[in-house]
Amino acid sequence: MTSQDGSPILRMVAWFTLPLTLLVAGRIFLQGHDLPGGGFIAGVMAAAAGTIYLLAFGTKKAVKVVWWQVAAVGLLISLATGTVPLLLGKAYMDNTFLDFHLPLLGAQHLPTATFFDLGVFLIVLGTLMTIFVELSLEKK
Amino acid sequence: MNHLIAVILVPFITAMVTALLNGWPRLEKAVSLLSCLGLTAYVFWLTGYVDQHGIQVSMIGGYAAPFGIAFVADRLACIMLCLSMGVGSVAMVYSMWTATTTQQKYFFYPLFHVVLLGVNWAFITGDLFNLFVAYEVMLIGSYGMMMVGASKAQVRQTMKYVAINIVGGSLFVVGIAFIYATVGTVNMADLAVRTAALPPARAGMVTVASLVLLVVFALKAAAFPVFFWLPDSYPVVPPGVNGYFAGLLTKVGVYSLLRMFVMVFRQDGHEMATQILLVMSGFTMLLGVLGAMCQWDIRRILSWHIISQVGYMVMGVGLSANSAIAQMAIAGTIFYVVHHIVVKSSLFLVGGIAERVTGTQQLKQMGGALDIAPGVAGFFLIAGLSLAGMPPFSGFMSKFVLLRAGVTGGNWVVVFVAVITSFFTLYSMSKIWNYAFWRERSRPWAGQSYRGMMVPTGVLIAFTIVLGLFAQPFLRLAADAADDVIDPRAYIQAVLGPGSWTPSLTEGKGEPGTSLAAWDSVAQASPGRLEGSVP
Repeated sequence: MTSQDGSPILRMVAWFTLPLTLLVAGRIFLQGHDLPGGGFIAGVMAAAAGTIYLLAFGTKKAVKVVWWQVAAVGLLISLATGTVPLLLGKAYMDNTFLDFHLPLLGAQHLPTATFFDLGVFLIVLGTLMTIFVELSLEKK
Repeated sequence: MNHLIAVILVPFITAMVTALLNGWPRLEKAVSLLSCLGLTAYVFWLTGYVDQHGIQVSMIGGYAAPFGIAFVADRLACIMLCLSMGVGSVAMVYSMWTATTTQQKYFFYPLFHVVLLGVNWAFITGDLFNLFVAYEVMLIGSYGMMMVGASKAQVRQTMKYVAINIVGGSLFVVGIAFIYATVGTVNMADLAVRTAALPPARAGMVTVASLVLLVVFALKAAAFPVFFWLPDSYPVVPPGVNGYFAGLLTKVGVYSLLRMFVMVFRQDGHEMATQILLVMSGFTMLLGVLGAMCQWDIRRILSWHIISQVGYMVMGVGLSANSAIAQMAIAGTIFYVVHHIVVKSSLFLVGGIAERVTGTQQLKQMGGALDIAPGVAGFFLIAGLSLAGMPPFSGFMSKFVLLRAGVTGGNWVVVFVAVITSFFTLYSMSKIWNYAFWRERSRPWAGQSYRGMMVPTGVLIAFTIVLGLFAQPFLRLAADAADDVIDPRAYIQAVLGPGSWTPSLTEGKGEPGTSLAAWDSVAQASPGRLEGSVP
């Protein structure tokens, strides 16, 4: 499928929905831990944005990313997050909160589990995108 | 001992790193080797440490038991970990010589590490639901491993293997759900405390649930009557990995039987399961060896022998119902597991070399391997005799302990079956010897080099000789491990903390109403543990 195959209407819609979907995914990712949300569901939403992209603009650019490697890196990030407390002499996957101050954004309260969630996000995104890209290449 | 997690963390990280290194086989091999040898050294050190300093526990995320997930290293778990990583390293080195370019391209090394991850996980976890997760991880790795290369035969056999294991996995979850609904915990130490204190009216439910788990573990261990999947599926796995699969995967089932049916389930009427196991073991031994006798494919013969040998180990678990011989039976089982994993893996590795030398798996077309590769023939002779239980190899000692337990307990029927099976095993091994090695060469030599594969195989062969000649320290360790399993007080106190002990456990029978009291004592102990002060 080349970019010419997609419908112009879908491409137009995609221009608006893609950034919105990614924004919502980012919001849901950040509100995890305390509210419903987190890495898994945000990854699914980002992958949904990915499918819209595939439908509207074709697979040309998407195949350049080796998506399963994104998943592997995500898994490594998650595992590494758990390892940090281990190296500090605590239990594996022990967690704590980072309180720090950012200019403009003010005081931040960040659970270290967020990094674990980032890994989960990449795993889900990588896995789903591998499947979707492979499926859209199937047509050729 | 928070670094206990290394036994699953290292293979996990290695799997991901080798996956990312896909395309650089030399780097993949180097990382795999480093990871395997390093972890092997760690688990051997851990075994020594646990043997001296007692059971080590790590709570994931720092949440206290029984609410958090416990990783527990007792002697039994450590022995199994040593076997898993030792044989894993050997199979890994062996595979580096046999893995084809296609296999390497389709993630041979990452999948191998995923299998290691699952197996190690099953041994180290102290949580029933976690055991299920470990099973699934192990299975996913093995599905991938069987499919590497995706030939027609592989796809056909893997489909069967996947189907049977999905049934097993579903039953496992059903069993756990029953147990959780009745007893209210999945932590193994807590389960042991609470099943012992269950009133008889509710104990029946746990017995039913435990029988569901018995089916699952028997399926995994390939015991009668659910062994049919094994002889078809193992021959399609690449030879080096086949050695590991043959040694370890079914033994995860045996280990689970030991852990759950000897240590954990203590409710009224739990002896029923061990009685069933004893009957199953006789059939498993006999039918397994009869199946082996009528096969002519070297890997299928060896696969049928796995089933037959599993029978011996299940027999040990079955004999443990009689408390007079429980320690001997369980120690015999553990020793048998050690012997079997080493010998069976080495037999598969030797079989793989014989295949490479003669260029076929069919026994009738093999022949003359003695002329071409006398070293391999020697290895086979040692491993084969050891499997059949000839002294001075490890098979003799392991069978001796089990049979002695059986004779002492007066279980003549199963002892008789075990001895008969041993004879048949000897027949089956001499059949392979006669056809593959002793006979005149009937085909031109396939001419593939096999020298590199001899070293890892030799390590295992050397171990079976050591295990046979110097059995005493290993038997001592097995007996201590058996004590830990039969009398789980040390295990429970290590996991739940001191003060979690309930006297009803020693009696093995609970009065109606004691279940709540038992739970109270645990609940009272918990907040104290959470704050770090021991009541």
